[in-house]
Amino acid sequence: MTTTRRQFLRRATHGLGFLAAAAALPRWVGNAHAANTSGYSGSRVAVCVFLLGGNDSNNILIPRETNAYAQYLAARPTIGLKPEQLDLINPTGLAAGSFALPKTLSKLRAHFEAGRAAFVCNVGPLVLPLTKADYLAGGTAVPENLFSHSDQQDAWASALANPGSSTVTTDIKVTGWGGRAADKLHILNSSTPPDYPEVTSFGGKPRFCAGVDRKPMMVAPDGTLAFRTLSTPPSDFDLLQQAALADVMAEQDSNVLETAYAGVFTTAQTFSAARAAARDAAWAQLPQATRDTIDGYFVPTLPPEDTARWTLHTQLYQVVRDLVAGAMPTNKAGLGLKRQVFSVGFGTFDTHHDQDVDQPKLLEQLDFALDAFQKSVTLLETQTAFGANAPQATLFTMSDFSRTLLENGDSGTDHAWGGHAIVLGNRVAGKALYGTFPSLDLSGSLDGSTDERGRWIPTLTVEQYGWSLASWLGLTTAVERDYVFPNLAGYVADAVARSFPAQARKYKIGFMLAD
Amino acid sequence: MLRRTALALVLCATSCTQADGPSAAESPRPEQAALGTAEQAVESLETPTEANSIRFLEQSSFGPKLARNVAPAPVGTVERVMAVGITQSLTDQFALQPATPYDGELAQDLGSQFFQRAVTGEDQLRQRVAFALSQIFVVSQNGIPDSSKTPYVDSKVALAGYMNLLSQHAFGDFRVLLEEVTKNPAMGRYLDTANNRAFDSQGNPIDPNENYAREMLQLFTLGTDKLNLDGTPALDVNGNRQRAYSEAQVKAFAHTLSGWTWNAAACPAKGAAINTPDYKNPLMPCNDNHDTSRQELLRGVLTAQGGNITTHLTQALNNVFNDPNVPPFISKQLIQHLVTSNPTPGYVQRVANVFKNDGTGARGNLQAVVRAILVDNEARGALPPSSLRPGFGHLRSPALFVTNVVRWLDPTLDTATKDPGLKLSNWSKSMSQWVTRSPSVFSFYPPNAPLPGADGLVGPEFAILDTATITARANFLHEFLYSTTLANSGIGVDYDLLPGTTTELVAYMGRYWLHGTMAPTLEPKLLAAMNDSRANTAIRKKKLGLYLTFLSPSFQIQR
Repeated sequence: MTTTRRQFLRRATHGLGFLAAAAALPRWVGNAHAANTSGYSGSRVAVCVFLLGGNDSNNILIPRETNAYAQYLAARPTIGLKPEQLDLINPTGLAAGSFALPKTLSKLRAHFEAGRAAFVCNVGPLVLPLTKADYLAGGTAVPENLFSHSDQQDAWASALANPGSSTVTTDIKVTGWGGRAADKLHILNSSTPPDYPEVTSFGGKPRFCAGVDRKPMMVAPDGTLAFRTLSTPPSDFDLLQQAALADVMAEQDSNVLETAYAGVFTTAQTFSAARAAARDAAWAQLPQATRDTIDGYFVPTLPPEDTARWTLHTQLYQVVRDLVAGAMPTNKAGLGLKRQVFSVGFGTFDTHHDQDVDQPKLLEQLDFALDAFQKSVTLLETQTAFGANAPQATLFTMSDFSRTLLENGDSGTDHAWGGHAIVLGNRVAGKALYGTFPSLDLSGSLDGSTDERGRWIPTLTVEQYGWSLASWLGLTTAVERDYVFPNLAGYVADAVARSFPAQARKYKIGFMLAD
Repeated sequence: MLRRTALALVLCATSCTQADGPSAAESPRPEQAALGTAEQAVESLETPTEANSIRFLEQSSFGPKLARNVAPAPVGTVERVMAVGITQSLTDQFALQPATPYDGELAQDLGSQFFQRAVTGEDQLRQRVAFALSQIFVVSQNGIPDSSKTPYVDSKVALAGYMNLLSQHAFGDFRVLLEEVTKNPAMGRYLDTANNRAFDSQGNPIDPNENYAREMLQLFTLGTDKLNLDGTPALDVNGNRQRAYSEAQVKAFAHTLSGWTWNAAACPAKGAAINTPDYKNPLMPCNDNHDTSRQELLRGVLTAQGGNITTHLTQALNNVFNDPNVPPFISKQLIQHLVTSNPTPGYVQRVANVFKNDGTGARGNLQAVVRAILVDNEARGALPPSSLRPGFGHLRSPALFVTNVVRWLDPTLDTATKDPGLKLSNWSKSMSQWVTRSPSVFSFYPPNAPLPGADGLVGPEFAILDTATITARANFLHEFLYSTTLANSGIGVDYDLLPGTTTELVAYMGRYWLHGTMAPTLEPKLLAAMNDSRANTAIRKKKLGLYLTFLSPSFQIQR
């Protein structure tokens, strides 16, 4: 029986006054040690890439079957990708060449064909599984504020599409599924220093990272989390100031708010210093050639004028550096973490106009950064420096929503709903499409679309997507599932009760390889 | 033992779900109503001590200032409060009209305009209350897209008008405020009241957008749970919380509030919209797009069958305004913004009672509510009541941290040729409070965010305190104190205004900035650091002391 610090405090609250207990004990007391790491005893990380603004996934996965492709081009006379702009893919179980990716995703295509990447089709925020009739009937089964950037970003980040009408407590409503997964993954980690945050964010949606108990390391996109000093390296005066500040934090006037503030401050001071030290020390454990190769992966090959404003590859490079620090065992000056979650993000995917010009540039950036990250992880997996804690990483995308299949009058597309997500990693059951690709027929009964412009009603929910990833990280029980994804059980129960297709009746989507 | 008792009281402030308490709406709970009055050493409102006056200014302004030998002591200074007393200071503040309206057509950023007013304005209490209201009735510049059809920057003009509205009504009638907010074009865009029609383009009835109806109930008036007058959840006979409103009621309010559009020369046809926003005038009622049918609102109240759009608006707002949840819901949040995150139920109830009836029979008199908050024994005195001290106060929000530091150091601000307000706003932004650009309708932080590590207590401002933003707090201060580029922003601090010796400076900071609460153990730590040989100049000693004191837990938590 392990005891988390929170449980400890809860119990203390029931017995003695917790103020006394909290004040007397160091902050990390009760930090549990890993009982077991379900699936894999080494280091596992999940990396969320948030495509801010609503990525038009109709243009990242294109059907080449004759009728479907004709429907696609008919809806997109201007921005539709022509055959010469596409490369075929050969998903398992489907006719060879039945789908294609844009040439701007050629590196991702190579990973797909090699079995390291998959697409999850038509996934989006849902409360309950919805037919078109259910959607039209409205009510609380329909996600709140569809087609709204902020609300749908929050729906993806929190895995709660009905924050207004849901009866879950507010702490669940204001947190994200990455952070709540961390609340439950915490017992699998025994780091040095103790209680090192599971989640580290360089960008994306802050809400995704916030747990009820576990708070993320929030870091600038360039990787720096550091207190200003007068000199670099710190002068004697700087060192005096920093030491005195740490000392002052201990003065809390027996007030719990002061204790809480000092706790966050000490977290920042402790972990930023520990993080900086571990990043350097762990990195130095890798052979020079490995470090040089990884650094080289992240040097853009396109001309500088095309890449000067890229931000995703720099964020993912920081993820690599932090996951090396996290996975490196403590006896090699790493943090010794078993499970981590990272958040990165970039935009501007809100392509209401000139999508034919703008989206290809965004996809080039995405393609380059994902490829650099994937190659880095593949190289890291074999590094002996990690001992038994070699890292495995799965990268996945989220976005506000996909966009209308029917293009608008400005060579652009408008806000829609369900879209296709990318999962990438060596533990992904790749070269496959999961879920159901929507019918692109805008002339028929439009059963899969909210209206005649092609806004797909999702056939997989964010919760199924998220739980598939959280399970891979090591969450297994129904209690954990219902805590992190409070709507999922009701979703599946409703799908069973109303005989929805098999994919809606499962908690998980099968895109991760079994352990 | 004392500590444990204190804990129990503090915990009860927010989390006691006692099954034996009366749960009927607005019924008093005498045993807790007495809390906070029993042991408080009474200090006269007419002759407040210096510490009490500083606390008062922390709660009622953007930071205390010192008169610095100006006679008579200017408004907003500690000496002035001590001279005229709390009661008169409040009366003086209530009488001040908003100094300079926000102007959305100036080049100056609205965040900059806010900080300039916060740091230099005389109408401190009005601005402070308006700022609190802006975090309850949230509209964000980020949620107002620019349209090519207006000759101005939409989000800026919209928010300027909205901020002026909140300033104007900060001491007014809550019912009037609610109506002004409902009809405001910025709110109309932000939460979709503008062009929210009850009919589609073919004239068929449709369900109007529920965005405003829902947030108005959830965030602006009722909250999610039924409340006792003291702000605790009103439980049913089985001890369960009860929803303050139903989905059907959200829908009913959405129908009742349908049909408003942008101000224009004439209403559009049924099912049609006005497509040119007007952020300078209230929304326009258009009965053709309004659902005139009878709707059942809160507490079984029905709207008039066939009533027109303005009649229905009045009925809807009267209905929600008279709900028993409103007094505790609003009173508690105002207390949290001004005084303490975890007020006792008794404190909430005393203020909510004033919200219900200001003594003349009027409900929703915000001036009376604000006075009740600030003269309450839980807020007054040189220190909080001793039994409440372990859980008293609130983390200074980024904006308040910035303005309090600035007002204590009292720099010259060159607003003529530079933009110091923008610098202050950007610092606040770096700490996750970008004023006028809340990330969502849930504001920068929710009123019920849990206080880390203290089950049962809340710490709203802690929702945006993370490793990056707390580092930004330190780095703001470091830049403010040490950066040679501060002058480029038009901010000039004269450190000679502060005492010269380390002993005198520590005493000064303890006396004023911590109003006498400096822990006996903090003082030697400050002195040891400042007297360390590595702090090798007088100015470095001084700045080191400031850096440590402003970042100390005692300063960061406004108590």
